[in-house]
Amino acid sequence: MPQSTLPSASDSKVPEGSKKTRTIISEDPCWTLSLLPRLSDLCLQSIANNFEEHPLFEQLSSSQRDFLQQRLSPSLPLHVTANLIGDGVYWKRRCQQLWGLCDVSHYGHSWKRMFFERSLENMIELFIPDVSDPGNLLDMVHHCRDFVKRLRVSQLLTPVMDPQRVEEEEVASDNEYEGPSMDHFDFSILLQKLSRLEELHVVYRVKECGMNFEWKMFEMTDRDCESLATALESCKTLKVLRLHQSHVDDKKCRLLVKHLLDHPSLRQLDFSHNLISDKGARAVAKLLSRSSLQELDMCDNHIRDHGAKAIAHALSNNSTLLSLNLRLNRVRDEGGQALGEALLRNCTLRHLHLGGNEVGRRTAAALSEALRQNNVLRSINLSCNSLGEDGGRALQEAMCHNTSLTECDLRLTQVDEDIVSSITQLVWANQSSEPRQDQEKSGARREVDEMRDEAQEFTGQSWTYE
Amino acid sequence: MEERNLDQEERKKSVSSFSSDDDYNESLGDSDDADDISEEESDNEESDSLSQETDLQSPLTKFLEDIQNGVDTRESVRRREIDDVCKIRLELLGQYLRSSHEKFEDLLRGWSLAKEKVSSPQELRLALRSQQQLVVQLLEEKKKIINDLQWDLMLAGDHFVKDLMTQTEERDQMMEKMDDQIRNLIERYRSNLTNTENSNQENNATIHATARQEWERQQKEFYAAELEMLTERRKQVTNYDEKIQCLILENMETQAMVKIEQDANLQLLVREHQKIRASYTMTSLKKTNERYDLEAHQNTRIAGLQTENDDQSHDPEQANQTVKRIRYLSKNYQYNIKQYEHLQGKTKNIAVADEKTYEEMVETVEEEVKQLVDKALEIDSLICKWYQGIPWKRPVVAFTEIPDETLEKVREMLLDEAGILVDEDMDEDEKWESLLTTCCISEMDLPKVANYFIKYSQREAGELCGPLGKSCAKTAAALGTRSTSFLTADLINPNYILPALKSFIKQDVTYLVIMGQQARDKEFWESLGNIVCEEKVKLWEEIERTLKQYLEVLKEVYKLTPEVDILRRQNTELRMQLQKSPSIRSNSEIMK
Repeated sequence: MPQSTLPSASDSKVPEGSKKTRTIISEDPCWTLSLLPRLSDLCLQSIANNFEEHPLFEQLSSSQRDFLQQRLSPSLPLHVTANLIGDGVYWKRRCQQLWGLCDVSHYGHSWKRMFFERSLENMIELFIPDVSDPGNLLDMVHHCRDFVKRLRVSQLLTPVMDPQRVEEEEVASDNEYEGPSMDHFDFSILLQKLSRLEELHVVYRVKECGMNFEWKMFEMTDRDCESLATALESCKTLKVLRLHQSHVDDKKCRLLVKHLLDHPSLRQLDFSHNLISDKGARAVAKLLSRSSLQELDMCDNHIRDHGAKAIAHALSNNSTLLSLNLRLNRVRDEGGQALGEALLRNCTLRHLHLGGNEVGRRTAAALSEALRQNNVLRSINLSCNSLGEDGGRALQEAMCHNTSLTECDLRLTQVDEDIVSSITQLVWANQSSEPRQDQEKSGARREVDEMRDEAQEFTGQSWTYE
Repeated sequence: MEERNLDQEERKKSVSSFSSDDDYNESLGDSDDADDISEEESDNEESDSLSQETDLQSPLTKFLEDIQNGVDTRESVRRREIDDVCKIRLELLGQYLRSSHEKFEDLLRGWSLAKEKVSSPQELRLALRSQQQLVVQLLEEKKKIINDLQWDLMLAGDHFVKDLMTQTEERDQMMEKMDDQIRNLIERYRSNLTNTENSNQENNATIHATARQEWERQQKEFYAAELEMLTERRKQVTNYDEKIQCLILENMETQAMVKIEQDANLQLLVREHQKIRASYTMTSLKKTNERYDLEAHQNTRIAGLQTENDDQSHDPEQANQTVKRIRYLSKNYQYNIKQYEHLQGKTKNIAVADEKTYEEMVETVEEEVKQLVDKALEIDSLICKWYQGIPWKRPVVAFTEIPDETLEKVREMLLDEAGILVDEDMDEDEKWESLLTTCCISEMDLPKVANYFIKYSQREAGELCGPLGKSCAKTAAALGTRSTSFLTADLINPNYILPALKSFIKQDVTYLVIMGQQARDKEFWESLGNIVCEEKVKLWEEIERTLKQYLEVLKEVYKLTPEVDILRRQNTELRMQLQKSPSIRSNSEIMK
């Protein structure tokens, strides 16, 4: 406090009645006038101290605001600070107080956005249905609605069951499956209020469950799906949706897609590592034709030839999709052929991943045909398929006429080494002929980035090099 | 269930690979740093480093992708196997379903048959037994299939566990491998970094060295050029020095020539001046004589004329003539006086020129004094030898000082001779003071004045007897040296007092120089004066007394000779006057 910072000079009293001259007698030799805090600083300090009762920020000059940003207590309630204090040091201090080291570059270099996003994520991740009070969360949403652009939910807790009930349930479960609800957090209360949300990454699973493991923890229930679907429909600003490792089957997929049809802003959809098969794929194909999706990731699902044919059909009429990932499905030659034929008509798709799809030489032939004519496709991945010698040769011939392909993965495809190396040569030639700065982020690198994100979500913490 | 676990397994694997991927990115960051360092280098190097970077990156990415691909293939193979197994199992189950269905139908048929056909309890029992057997069969079959399936499940579980273990092992191996690779990569990056750093440092060092060499070289060149310039300049300076020396010498020669000429001219002038002065003195003497004669003649004439006047009181013409005559004479007299003054001015000019000769004279005087001292010392030595028989020692030479008596004399003389310059009515002290003020001399300067007078008179004397020969100068010098014992009147001709005073006032500066020299010489002179010590003086006095007795005799003889000489001279003079007087008388008679 200012009184305490005043030096001993104030102690030496000048006798009253004598001449009124201002004297400062410094008994402490180290003391100088510069140690005295300036009055304006004292005022600002008192503003900072009483900020909760008398918030005063807008009226101040920028330098004074900077001062306050440095001094304000990080424990101030959000209803005071959220809309008053702009992005800056204050939010950085709050972030660092909560999480220590932070990488603000992932949040568009905005500390405030980082604070609110991570706070909201934490709240959602620790929300226990039927136990936690949704009021707190809604309060939080009310404060951060204007700042949250992305939500990366890496876990959703299930309701707590006391052991008795669990036992009862086990007894009861023999007769009826519908026990007490195992539903997760209900997004419908949240999404429609976040007016600026652009990205949503959700995983219906529990981190570090240990010995409490139960399959139900890792499943999205029907009611979850319903609530999420309606929530998604209500969120008109959403651009990116990732719903992975969440046991999404055909039924749920169809439900979700039904609500996502004609979504105004959705650009990126990721249903990777789920249980979607042909019916779901058909629904997704319908979504392709009724939205402006740019990226579709269906890797590690159960899509077979029928689903692939549906997707291929949608692709042939699509002019927005840039990237299609069908890794680790079972498209087989029928689906592969359909996709190859679709590529003959499509002129927007740049990246195609057909790794691990049990496609053979017929698909290779169809793709070769497409590569001869298509000059948009940049990368194609056919790894882990049994293309055989014929398929390799067909691709090699096609590559001679192609100038756009800069990446071609033919590992583990039973293609002759010589052919693979010659194709690689051709691809490199295309790569080097392409101007460096115009080059897109290479497929491998992009994949690596994605995988890192995935890993981050999976482990719930960012990896740092030690 | 199996599938899911495997999924997780796979994910874990991928996670491990991602973690290493993070490491890999970190190492990428390192390489970025390295890039930053080498940014300033040429494009070539940049592209080199870029290609190196991609070289280093590609194996890692490839490795990662290989792992993924491997997992993918394994997964797809596994899925196919599962599909096959499921198909077989489904077939098996289908077969069983069909067979059990048949059996069930058989059973049902058995019951209906039994209902229809059975009539006796025995048959019924048989039918029941067979039906029971069938049911048992069916149950057994079911049990068998359940057992089979359970067996299968157990096998699959074991297989899954084994699979998990092997996968864990593989994963661990892969992680190790990756770690190794990452370590290698980091090492390579580090070495790359150090290499680039080293090369940069080397580059810097070489650039530095070359720059330094260049600098030194240029410095040397600069120094050499500077040195050359300096030597050239020095040469020039010496040349100019020589030239200046030559010019000075030439100048000096020409000046000397001029001086010699001037000196010669001066000598001529001096000689002329002396001649003129001599003639002037002669004329002045003649004139005084004439005046004297004239006065005497006039007195007689006046007396005569008065008598005549008394006789012939009316003779205005003769009186007029006399007046005219007087006027003419007075004019003549005035002209003579003017001429005399003119000559005096000339003499003054000449006196300035004589200063130099004076210096020369001082030298000669000093020399002569020395000779005199030598002589005195010789005499002393002779005296010592002759009268005492003591070995003689040469004393130290010193200067003399002007005594107060001389000063007093000088003062009196000044008063007498220069008294005309001031008011006649004053008493002696006032006169002296006013004289001093008019002449701008202080009482303190009196010794200087006295000294100067002595010098002046010596010079005058030297001038007079210059042409007469050395002996005269010698006597004059001797007079100068022995001024202490002489009266000033003897030293200085009263006629010289005024000009001497004038020149003293005028040439005070030159005089001061002389005085400086004299001060320097003072000791020398004193030592010369005291060359003969007191004891010796006493001795000499003794000798003198004895000699004086001898001298008395000689003096008597000597006294007679000058008288005779004077008389002879007077006689000759009178005779000459007598010879001249008739002409004058005749002249006056003519004038009358």
